[in-house]
Amino acid sequence: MSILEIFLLSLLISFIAVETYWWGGAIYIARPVFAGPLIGLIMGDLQTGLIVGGSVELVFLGGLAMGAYSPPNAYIGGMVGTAFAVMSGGNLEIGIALAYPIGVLVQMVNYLVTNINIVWVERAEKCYNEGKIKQAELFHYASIITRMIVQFFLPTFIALLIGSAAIESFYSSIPAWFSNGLKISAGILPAIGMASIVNTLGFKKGWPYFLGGFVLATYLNMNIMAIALLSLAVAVVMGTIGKSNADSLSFNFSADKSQGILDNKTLRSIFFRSFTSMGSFNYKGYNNIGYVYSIAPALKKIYADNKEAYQESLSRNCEFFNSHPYFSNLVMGVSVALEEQKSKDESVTGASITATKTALMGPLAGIGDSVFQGTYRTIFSAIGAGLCMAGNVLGCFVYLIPQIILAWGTRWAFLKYAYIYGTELVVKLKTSNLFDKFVEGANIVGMMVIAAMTSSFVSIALKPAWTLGGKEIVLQAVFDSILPKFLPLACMLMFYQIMAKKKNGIYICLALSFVIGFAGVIIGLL
Amino acid sequence: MAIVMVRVDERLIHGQMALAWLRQYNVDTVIVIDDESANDMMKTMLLQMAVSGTIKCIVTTLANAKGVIEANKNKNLFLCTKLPAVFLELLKQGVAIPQINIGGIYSTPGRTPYYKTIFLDDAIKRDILALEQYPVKVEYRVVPGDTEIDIISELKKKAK
Repeated sequence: MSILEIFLLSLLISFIAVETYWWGGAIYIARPVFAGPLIGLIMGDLQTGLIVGGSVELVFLGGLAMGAYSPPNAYIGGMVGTAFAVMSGGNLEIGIALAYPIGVLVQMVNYLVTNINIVWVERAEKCYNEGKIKQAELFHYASIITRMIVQFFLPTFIALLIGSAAIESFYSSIPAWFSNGLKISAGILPAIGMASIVNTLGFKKGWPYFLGGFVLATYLNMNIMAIALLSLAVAVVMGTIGKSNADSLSFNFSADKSQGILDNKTLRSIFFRSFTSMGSFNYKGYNNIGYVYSIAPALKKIYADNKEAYQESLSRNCEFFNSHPYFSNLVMGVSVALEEQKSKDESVTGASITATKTALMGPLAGIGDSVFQGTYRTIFSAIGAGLCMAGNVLGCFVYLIPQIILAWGTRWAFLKYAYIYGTELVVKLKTSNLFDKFVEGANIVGMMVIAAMTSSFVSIALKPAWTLGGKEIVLQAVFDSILPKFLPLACMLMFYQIMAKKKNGIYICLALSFVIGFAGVIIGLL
Repeated sequence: MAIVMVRVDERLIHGQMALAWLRQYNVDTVIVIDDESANDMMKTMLLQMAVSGTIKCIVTTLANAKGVIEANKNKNLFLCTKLPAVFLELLKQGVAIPQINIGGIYSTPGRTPYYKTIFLDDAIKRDILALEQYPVKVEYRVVPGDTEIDIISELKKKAK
């Protein structure tokens, strides 16, 4: 690849990666299961992209972002890994093996950039305090662009420059045991993500569903899509057994409330601005600048004839804020409704609005991170990854479409209905047990699908074969006659035990994948 | 069955709590000890929602805390509060706490930064140092996977 091509590719990769801070509203389109195949397609090798993207997605599956913690970066790991695999002529193992180390490096740069961005954040705060709104907004975008260039573009550009040169000169000259070892390791790595999900969902309660999924895949040879759909049916059936009609999901609110002075146009403006609510993340105020940037159009309208109150609300809304990106819109809806009330009567004070935001942001982050990130996205990305690894591009959309529906749907619904109904929306969410029901169903689907994926996509098989008294004995066939796919199952369960028992178990599992791969090839076992 | 883990975090239950801490330790009941939340129906409800399905969440006042802990002593408990003073009081009352994780005390005017998620003023610092007199391990970590930092000896070093 020429330097110009590498430059353009890096620019594209960094633009896709910065989606969560900017144009996508955190639909996580940059995750390996979608972005890997996308990069593969652009570079002319969709198949490689699908398999590398799906596999790398599973490697990164356990890494979840929460608050100040950012996991190893799956976006750059996945996209650069795919690029390497395509550059080396479809050698998947190069991409899969390098993805995690690259992700770890970018994770470190993430912390660096968050610290650098404090420069923009403090200037933005100063501008909001002085009523210089347009300037403040420029600093908000400066944070976003800094992240795109320093955290995403530079590491990608450097990695691709070094990598493409290295691949061209060295790959043909590495010894067979190394590249074979890498191949085997790359077949074991996906078991890490699967073990991570099993650990998260809880094997002790979910093992019957796991067993069911394993049997369907191994003995009946059902494909992933079929098992996923079947598991959905099972989940719904299990959810409705023993439940009375009183447990309804309808959202009937108490009174007909009018919308107040913020019309849909203003709400839409907040909705689109909220896509960047994580853009100026910093360790002092967290998502404070993103918050005030998003609700600014509402504040302008609410305090149109009271410049002092407008200025006060702008400054006040620069206070600490951190919540889940979609649930942040719920807090925004509640807080702008309160600001509207404040502008009309003295009973609502700035301090009470702050207190309400503070009370809401933590717990909603808890629900958001565990349900939306830890369960919803994880399940769909696992199913999508499974389909991609089978070479089916449908997998990309099985992941992305539910993500878009969730991200944009909740952002709008939370914003609008929290604005109209206030905290009553939260009460409704609690009494409907919507999230608990969803998590229970997701556990069933997750267990069955992961079991199927363990059977289908963890590649570990014994090579030894010999003749004894005229008969050919293949070691793997002996195992298969007892329990097919025994080795993938054992490997995944071993990883699960390690992750459940040990802190930072994922690093042990990563190391083991490579040790087993290389040792296995050298001994001649794998 | 007992108190499995104890955390000081001004935001009480949030993303890291629900996702990392409660999953790392085999917890079946979370007890939030915070007078303000216990006396506010909306806050109590939010905290209960924040904890995922199978885990129970009890929100109680400092005065009732010891009783609630006793009543649930055969469960795996995770205690959570905003500031160290609460646990200091519980230790004084004789509650057996094995380890306290100082996780999040955030930036407000008048506090000095010590770590990424720890901002202290003199009163809070005194409370943390006072924990030393009890047989309890006090450490700083943001997420369970981090290395445990002996916050008391670090604070004493900085004071010199």
